[in-house]
Amino acid sequence: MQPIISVNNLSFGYTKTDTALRNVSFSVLKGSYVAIAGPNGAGKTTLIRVLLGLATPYTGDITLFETPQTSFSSWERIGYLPQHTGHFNPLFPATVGEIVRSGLLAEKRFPKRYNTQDKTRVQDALARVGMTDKSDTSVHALSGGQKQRMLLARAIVARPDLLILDEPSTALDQETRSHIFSFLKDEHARGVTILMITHDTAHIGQYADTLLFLDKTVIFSGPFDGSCKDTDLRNYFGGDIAGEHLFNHPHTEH
Amino acid sequence: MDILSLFSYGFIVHAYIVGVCIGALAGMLGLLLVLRNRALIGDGLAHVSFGAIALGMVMGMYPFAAAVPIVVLASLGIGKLTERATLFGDAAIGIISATGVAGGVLLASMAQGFNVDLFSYLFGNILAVATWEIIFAAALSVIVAVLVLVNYHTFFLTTFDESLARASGIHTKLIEALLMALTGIAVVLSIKAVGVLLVSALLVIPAVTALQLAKSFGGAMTLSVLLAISVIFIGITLSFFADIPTGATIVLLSVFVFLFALAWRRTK
Repeated sequence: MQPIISVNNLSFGYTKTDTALRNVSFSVLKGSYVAIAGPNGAGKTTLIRVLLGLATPYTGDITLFETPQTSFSSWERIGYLPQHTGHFNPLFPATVGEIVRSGLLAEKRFPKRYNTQDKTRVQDALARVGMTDKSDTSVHALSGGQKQRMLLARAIVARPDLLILDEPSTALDQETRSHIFSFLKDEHARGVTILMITHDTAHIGQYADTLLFLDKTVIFSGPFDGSCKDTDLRNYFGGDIAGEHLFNHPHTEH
Repeated sequence: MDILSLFSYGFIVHAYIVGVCIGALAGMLGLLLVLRNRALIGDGLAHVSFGAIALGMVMGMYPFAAAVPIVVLASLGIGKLTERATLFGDAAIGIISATGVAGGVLLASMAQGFNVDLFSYLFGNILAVATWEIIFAAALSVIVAVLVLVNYHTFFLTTFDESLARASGIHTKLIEALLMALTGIAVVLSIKAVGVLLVSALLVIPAVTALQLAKSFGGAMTLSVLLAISVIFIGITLSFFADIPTGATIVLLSVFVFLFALAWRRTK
């Protein structure tokens, strides 16, 4: 199976003396569901930001859809859900429809204009995240969970091949979390590749089939089932069996 | 005298035309600047205009023709200074702005004879607009408005969230530089209406008023433009009938409308 993302010997630091990522190498295969886990400050968000070209410069090689990241231009193939929704400027005037529609901008060429079909695509995306009829609602009127679902609708409105999500369930109530994971499961079943950062390590195995455990460098990368037997991961946890208390219930149906 | 008879005065018609041009630009760009926490850039660039106008006078040029390129360069300089020197935005504005005023004062003291002309730009005079100045303002306004409208959706996303914009393949630095350059042009044109000292009010107040009332980005942009045009239009009319300074009337009218919008929102 062909890799959608290939990372080879990637290193990155925010300053010359800082090392946020060190010699990171891994691949994400088409159709896989990859969970990125690791302690705080492990470089998980930094890795995603580097992949998306938001953090530069780096050393090493990144390939997205078989194209070097530096010359990659098909950004509509990647849906991105950033960490936190709390960074919204509280004064920013926007409707849910305006925000979701902006997810189509990557596929537009200059001059970037929307067409009448785009309105239907926005409605479809909102319906898929359970926000039908919210298109004209002001973002100020949304709860935290609704904002997260709105940004999820924005990430999938262009029907991307790859979804990159940075802690999509953080600070959400149980019902919204269940809704989001159920939604992602459906997307994965449709063939969408998913790369997701999570702190919810106890439930990773309920949805992901591949684990990328990071602590500035890759500690483990491979099928989820193999993580419990992996020597590097066991050594990382001081010989303790990681899977017993960190990664419970592998592949249990959610 | 009734209001319709105002249109028989050529200078009033000229003022209305220039006012509509300036209002449209100030409304559009002001909203983007306010939402990007760049509200004070208009003030800084207006001070640079003061120095640039002085330079134009010394060189015997039409002052605004000299001011446009200098202020556009200064606006790009503020962006670069903020980025390269890791300065906070306001600090970069302060440095460029002070340089502009100091340069203007120095030129005025060195070249005697145009001090009165130069200082008249501090307060502006939209009622003294020549026909060719209308053409100059209208041409620049059309260029700026077209560039804003063509890039409207890109401006929206880069203003809402820069990271999302970059992850959508948008060259956010280019868009920021474009916004700064267009702001430089709008500031120079606005000086004719309200003067160096009050330019930032025209950029900021209609925008923040629109933010009190609108729930969508498109609505806020439209409202900001309409408010800016309206206060300039009404301000010109009021100042003519009451024989009071036009620039100050426009700005105080804007403040009044803002306070009204603020009170109205609080009742909601």
